[in-house]
Amino acid sequence: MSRNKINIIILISIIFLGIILFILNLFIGSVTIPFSDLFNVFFSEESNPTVRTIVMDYRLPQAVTAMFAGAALSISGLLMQTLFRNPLADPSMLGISSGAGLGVAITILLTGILGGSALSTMGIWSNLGVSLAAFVGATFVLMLILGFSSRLRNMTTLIIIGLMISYLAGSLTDIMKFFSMKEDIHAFVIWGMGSFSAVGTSKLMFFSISVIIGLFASLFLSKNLNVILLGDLYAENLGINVKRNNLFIILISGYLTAIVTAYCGPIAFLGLAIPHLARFTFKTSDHRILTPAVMLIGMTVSLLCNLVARMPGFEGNLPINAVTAFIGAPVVIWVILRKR
Amino acid sequence: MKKIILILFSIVYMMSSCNVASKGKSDKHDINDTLNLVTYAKNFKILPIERGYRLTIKDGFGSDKEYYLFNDTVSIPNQFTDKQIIKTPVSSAVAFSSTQWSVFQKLGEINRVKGLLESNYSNNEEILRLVAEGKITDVGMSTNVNTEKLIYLQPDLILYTPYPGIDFSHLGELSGATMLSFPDYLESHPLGRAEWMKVVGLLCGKEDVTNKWFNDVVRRYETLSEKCSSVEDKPTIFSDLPFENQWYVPGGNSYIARIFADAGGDYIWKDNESTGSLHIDAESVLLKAQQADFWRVINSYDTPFTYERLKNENELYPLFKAFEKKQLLVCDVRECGYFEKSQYEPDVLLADFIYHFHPELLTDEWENYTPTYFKQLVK
Repeated sequence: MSRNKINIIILISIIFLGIILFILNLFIGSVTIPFSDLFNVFFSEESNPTVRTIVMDYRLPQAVTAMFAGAALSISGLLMQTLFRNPLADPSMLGISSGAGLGVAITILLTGILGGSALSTMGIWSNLGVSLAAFVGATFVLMLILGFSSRLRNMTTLIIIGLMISYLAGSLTDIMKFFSMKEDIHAFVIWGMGSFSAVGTSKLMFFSISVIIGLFASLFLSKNLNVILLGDLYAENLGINVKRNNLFIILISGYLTAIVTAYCGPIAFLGLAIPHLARFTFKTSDHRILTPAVMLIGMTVSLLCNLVARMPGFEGNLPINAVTAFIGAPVVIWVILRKR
Repeated sequence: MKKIILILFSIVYMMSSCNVASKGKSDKHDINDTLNLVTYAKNFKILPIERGYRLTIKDGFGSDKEYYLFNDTVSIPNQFTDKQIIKTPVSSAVAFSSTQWSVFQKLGEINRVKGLLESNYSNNEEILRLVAEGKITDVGMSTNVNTEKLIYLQPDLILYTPYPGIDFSHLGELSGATMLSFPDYLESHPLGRAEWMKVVGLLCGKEDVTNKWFNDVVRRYETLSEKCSSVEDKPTIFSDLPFENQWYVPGGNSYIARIFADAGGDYIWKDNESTGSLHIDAESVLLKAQQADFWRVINSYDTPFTYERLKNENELYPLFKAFEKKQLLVCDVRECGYFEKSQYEPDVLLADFIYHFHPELLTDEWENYTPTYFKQLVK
């Protein structure tokens, strides 16, 4: 069988696995619901309203969020790894997640300062809340990075600048936490644990469309990404504007990270690991195959993590960050060892 | 680049001004209604209205929240039907904080509580039994509420503790419950914090009982603090152990600072104006607190403290005079239910400190009193 045929079979199996995991995400959770009740939610008019709420208004948006967040972070990681030609690059590398964290810290602190008096009159602040703050913080850092990257030719230098910005944002966040009252950093702790449940039905549409736009754009980048692997000089000889190409890749990667981090908190590991998983499974570095493969594997692994985090028996939901690496790391090691 | 530096500087400046700015937080209150049934608490008011009560809650996060409470048996007057209505007594409530369910329990109405958080932090036998029997569901932790279980409980009412930046409204939307904000921790006056029992009293239709309890607490508290107001010799006290090498101490306008002062004590950070906890480095603590007479310590673990054990934990401790003289006032929170109960017994808390500061002032009904929460650590 040719490599192409094998890849198509693998792709179909991953889609199939993803669908099964999606359904399991709707069926399994910390409340055990009899199968007949679940069946009624989808196929009968007379379903138990409580069960319907749990499945349709809580589990469904969470599964959709997990799916898109997983795809977005994985693609973002792939773009970073290719752009920097560095297998350890991940979405957090450019300081975008730390920027989001800083945004959250500033808002929470502002809320603390304005507390009792001013805030009640400017209710909009508290309603817009944490996601907006994170998004503003992430976008701010993204703009900085884009500004730097337009001046720099060498992408390795950009990694260093990204890491420095990341440390800077992190330290500002820590300083703020230091000066905050204990009670005020509660929200920060919650946001930092990462969760797919914060999006909810009301914001789901906006979140999904935002992510889909980014994912769609990344599909058009495949050729440009392949060219990067050949080296800058070669690319220029092919008539490609390397600088603009790089800028566009950073923009898409940063945008996807910003959206996901804003709504779900800083989610680790997926962005780093999924591209490797895809490369080893599909035995290719051609981005025309890798990009869709990374999306699908990202969705599937993310759904698996979300399922494990909410398994009955765990009191409360496990923080998603505790699960991603715990599930993902052994899988990656196994895949690498098996393929070698 | 200049712009970036400017922005970073303005952020740092904003942070440094935060401590100053936070002081005004709880001074604000606009309770001027003569009919208001609340006297000490600044963050809620109860007004009698036709056939019921209006409960207004100010939690500082978003606009004030208004609830209209009517007994189940009365018909709701027309002008209120479009308001946020709570029918009392509530039949199924979820209480996020132990300061909420403890009042239900004290009123003998714990059967109205169907869910709570963090039951594993409590040593309350009845609660643990009800959770084990499945009559009360533990719905997770305050940082990680189990939404599915909460929806499944279908409560009428969720009492939650609001924190800056955390939006709980989706829990109400999903479960269909009324969300009742309960920012009792924002009260800095001990009697103000105790007064929150009235809210639970209303919810259980037992406002007469909680009103009486509260009036008794006020009478006892004020009698005691009156006695201490004229003492000349005020022993100095400081508070709390470091947590992971970070010292957080109560601000000078905090709840516990007020109790120290009312008990005729001299809190070494009394001049600070914060109502929350202050972050202070170990050197400053040592400098300021080394000569203090007493040291108030909270023990959240199951094993009791000893001077030997504490010494092994941190080599700075023996440098404090209070440690050397064995004047640590320790509360084993799990054993005595400190976080659940003490806020509704500020008179008892006050008596605890008077017992250590000025035992001769505990007369009349406090004759032969022995401390309930804070006991001197002897060995």
